[in-house]
Amino acid sequence: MSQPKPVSRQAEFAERALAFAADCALFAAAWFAILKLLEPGMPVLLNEKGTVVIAFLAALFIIYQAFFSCDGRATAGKRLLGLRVADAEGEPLDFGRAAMRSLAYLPSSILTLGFFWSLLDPKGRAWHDLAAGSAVITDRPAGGARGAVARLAAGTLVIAFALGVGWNGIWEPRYLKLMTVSHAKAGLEEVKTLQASYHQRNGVYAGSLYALAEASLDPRAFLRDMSALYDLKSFRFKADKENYVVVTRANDVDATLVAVSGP
Amino acid sequence: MKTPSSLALLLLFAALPAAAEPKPGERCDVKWLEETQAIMSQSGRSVSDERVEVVGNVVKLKFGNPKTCDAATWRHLATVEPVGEPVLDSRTGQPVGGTALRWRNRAAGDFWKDTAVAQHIGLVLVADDFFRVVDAKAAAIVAAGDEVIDAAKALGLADFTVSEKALADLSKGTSGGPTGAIKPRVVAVFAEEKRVPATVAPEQLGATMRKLVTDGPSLGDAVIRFRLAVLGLEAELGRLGGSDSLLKKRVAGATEGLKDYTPGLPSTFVLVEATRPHALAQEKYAAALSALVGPGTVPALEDQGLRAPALLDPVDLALRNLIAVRSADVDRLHAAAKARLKGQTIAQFEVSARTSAEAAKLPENSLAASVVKRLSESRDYQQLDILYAGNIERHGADWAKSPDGLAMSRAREEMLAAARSATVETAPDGSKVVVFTQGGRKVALTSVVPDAVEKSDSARNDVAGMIARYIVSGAKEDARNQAMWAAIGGSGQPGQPLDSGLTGGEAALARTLPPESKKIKEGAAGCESPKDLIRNDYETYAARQREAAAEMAGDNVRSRNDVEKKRLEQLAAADVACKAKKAEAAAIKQDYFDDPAIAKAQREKAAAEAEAGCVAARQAIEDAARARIKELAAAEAGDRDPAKLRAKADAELAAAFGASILASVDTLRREYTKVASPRLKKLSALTGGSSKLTAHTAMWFDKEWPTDEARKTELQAAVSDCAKALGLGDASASPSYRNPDKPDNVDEHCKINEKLTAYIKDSAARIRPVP
Repeated sequence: MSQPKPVSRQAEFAERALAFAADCALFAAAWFAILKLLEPGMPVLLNEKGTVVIAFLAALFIIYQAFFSCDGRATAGKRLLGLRVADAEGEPLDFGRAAMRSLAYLPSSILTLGFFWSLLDPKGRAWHDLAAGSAVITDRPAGGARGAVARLAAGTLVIAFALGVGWNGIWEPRYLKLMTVSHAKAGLEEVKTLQASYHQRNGVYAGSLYALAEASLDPRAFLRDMSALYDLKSFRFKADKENYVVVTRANDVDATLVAVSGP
Repeated sequence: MKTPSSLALLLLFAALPAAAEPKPGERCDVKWLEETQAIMSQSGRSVSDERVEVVGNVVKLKFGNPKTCDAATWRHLATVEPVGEPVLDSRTGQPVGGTALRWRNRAAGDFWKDTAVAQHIGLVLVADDFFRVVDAKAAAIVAAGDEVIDAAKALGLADFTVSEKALADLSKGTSGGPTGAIKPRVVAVFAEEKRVPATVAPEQLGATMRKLVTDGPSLGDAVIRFRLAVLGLEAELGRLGGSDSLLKKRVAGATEGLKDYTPGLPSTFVLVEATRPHALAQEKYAAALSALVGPGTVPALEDQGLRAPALLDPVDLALRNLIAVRSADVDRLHAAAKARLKGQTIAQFEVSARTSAEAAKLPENSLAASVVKRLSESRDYQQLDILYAGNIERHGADWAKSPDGLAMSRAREEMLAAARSATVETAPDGSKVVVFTQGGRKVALTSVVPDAVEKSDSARNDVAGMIARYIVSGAKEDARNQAMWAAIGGSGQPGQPLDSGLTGGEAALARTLPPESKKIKEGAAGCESPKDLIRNDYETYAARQREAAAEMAGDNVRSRNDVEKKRLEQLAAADVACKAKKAEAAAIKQDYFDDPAIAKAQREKAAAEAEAGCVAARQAIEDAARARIKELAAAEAGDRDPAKLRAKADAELAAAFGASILASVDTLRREYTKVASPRLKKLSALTGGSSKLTAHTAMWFDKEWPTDEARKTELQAAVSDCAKALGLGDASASPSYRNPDKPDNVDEHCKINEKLTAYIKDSAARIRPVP
């Protein structure tokens, strides 16, 4: 006796978001791995090749989505959530339409508006679905604990995504500047200590960074750290037997002026 | 695009209600007065001469519209004088009586006594009073409206033409008089894309703009004057409403034909209806008032007890329409001014306009003009310009000569000069590069494609924006401007000490620093490279790297500083202990029975032991500290994997260290080649003297420390070797570190003297003549 064909339904936004996040996670892992292979010693967030790798993976992602959205296939994320891409009749897409749908991810990605459009569309279609005449459907029943968990997880992901965008575009540059200047000010404490050492030894305060390095227990490390903290060419010293003033610029994006004087 | 003709609007306003209005009467025609005037003229007098009582035959008067007659003319027939108090009519509740007609011409008085004509004249005189007040108010409205239109034209927002016909000829609804002579203006408001150049002087731009619009929700000065003038007229009409009622009551017994001669005051216009609460209680009045003066102004006007615009009704039709059209024009011009500001404050708008004037002096489509324009749009430049102009306005022109004023002026000029200097420069070999000069330093943007800047407007605009940002950041970081920018940030004002965040000595030293240019060197490429599409990512990566490197260095510094501070304290403590021991040694006294030499020997021995102890103690402290530093360095190296960051810091250090070495080598070169210098004398002594000593010395320096670009690699190798010799080679060499700023160190440790001596000797041997 044949089993009754399950009733398909439109996938919820939460389910689609989780599936998409799962696919993105795969590519994020690839991004991490590639950058580590290219430059093992460089933290991935500091690697200038990151952007190029992202561009490459984005192109690959589009191909991946196209290939796994046609002929009854499903991407890893969709398979995980039991979703599949179909046409209006619930039949699998051919490769051409799948490719069109995949390419339409690009306009959908503009401020992610195209993805969130599915929240407004009566049939839950995103821009790329509208472009390809497709729909994301599932055979699994709606609601229940599974649905609640999916919505909670998707909500968390959306919030995390928004925070990530805010951090990257707004808060991080400010944080980086503040921290760089903060480290630079800490560096001046060593300058202060070394001036005292130099004075103790020579009876006069040091008049240049390289003279100051003579008072350091590790001149080379001291100078290298100074180079990481400041623009070395900006150092200005004014020193005599009684007093000293040191002015320089920190290595933050605005090259903030910092100074120390004493004793 | 022109807006719909306001003339057509005016005609429409005038034509629609005109059909329902009675036809205007003929213009004033007083035959008697004309004839009397003819008689008077013969004696050299006029009927307008108040000192003369007009006499003569009584003739029939023919009244036209009384408003078109000169008030003085009527007043030479008779005057209206107050007589007793008006009484309230029990039926209407309106005052009646209170005035009497006194004839100037007795014969005329007798002739017209108790006739309707007498009442006509009394009526006309009251009406004339009414219109004289109204005309003055109407003239104020028209003048305020003209001020708005003139300001808009000066700003290039609109233009206007003056109608060939006067209001009286243009519209049937006019009753003539001074307002009838007004020639309406037909205003065309220009849309943004059709903006025309402003004709107003740059320094008057802000003041002119403020006539139309102000920062925030308020209306411009002239617009407010216009609104208030309209309301002033309404208020006057409301006040005159009582007179109107009185007028009507006084002439209640006039003949049937009397109404033809009345000035057209509407019967509904009574004081009761004119009161503010009544008017505003009616929705249409409140809405009309709101539309006329703007919603924000209504409450203020309510407080002043002004009347609603519906009170304009008794004004003759043409004037009412003129005011309505003018009001619409004022609204449109206010909106156009607001649109022209594009969200800027007026102060910012002035800055843009001033700088646009600067840009207009430069060749059109030049890079410099684009940079000047983009500079004017930057927030920092605008703040500076606004503060400078504002301070001069507040503190007078002398403020510009104060130190703060001069600093601001210099910063502005330098920024503009840098913007003007932006150009595409062609090198002798034909290659091109985009350059600009700031603070005397020429900055070349080698990554920008010059051809694109020359050919593409959008590329030029983008590059101009980039250069403008560089200029602003360069100016902001110019040490000389730190205090000034701090002032702009609100931490100081003219006349008050400026707080730059640095102490006096630090600020003074900071002023010797040149403008910051490092960021420019690290700046992203121009706008023609695909890389520019992701430029911000690269900048973010660079900022992250700098922060990571600074964090690494900061951690190192903190831990090393702890050790160094501890060492310092221990050395200070050791010195104290050492001095105590030495003092103790010096205090050894001679035993009474002993030889003094014994005590001396004991003191010397104790002092030597103390000294040895001191040296040992110091050495122990140094060794312990150095060992701790090595531990920290090893821990730090294993703690993370910042190889690339370290390499970058090392490269920057090597470059800066090399620059110091080269500076010392240059000093040595000068001193070794200077006749009678100590170094040359010493060299001469070492080499046995030579007539070509300075020439050979110069040759050696050129050979070993070349200055020409082609041998840059050799020079770098020499610098690298010297840096190693000075202790910058590796960590293990650190204890042998020497300061490269000292020429003696370079001379000794980089073996300049040694090698030079050998070279001179060798040269001398080679040129010795064969006997």
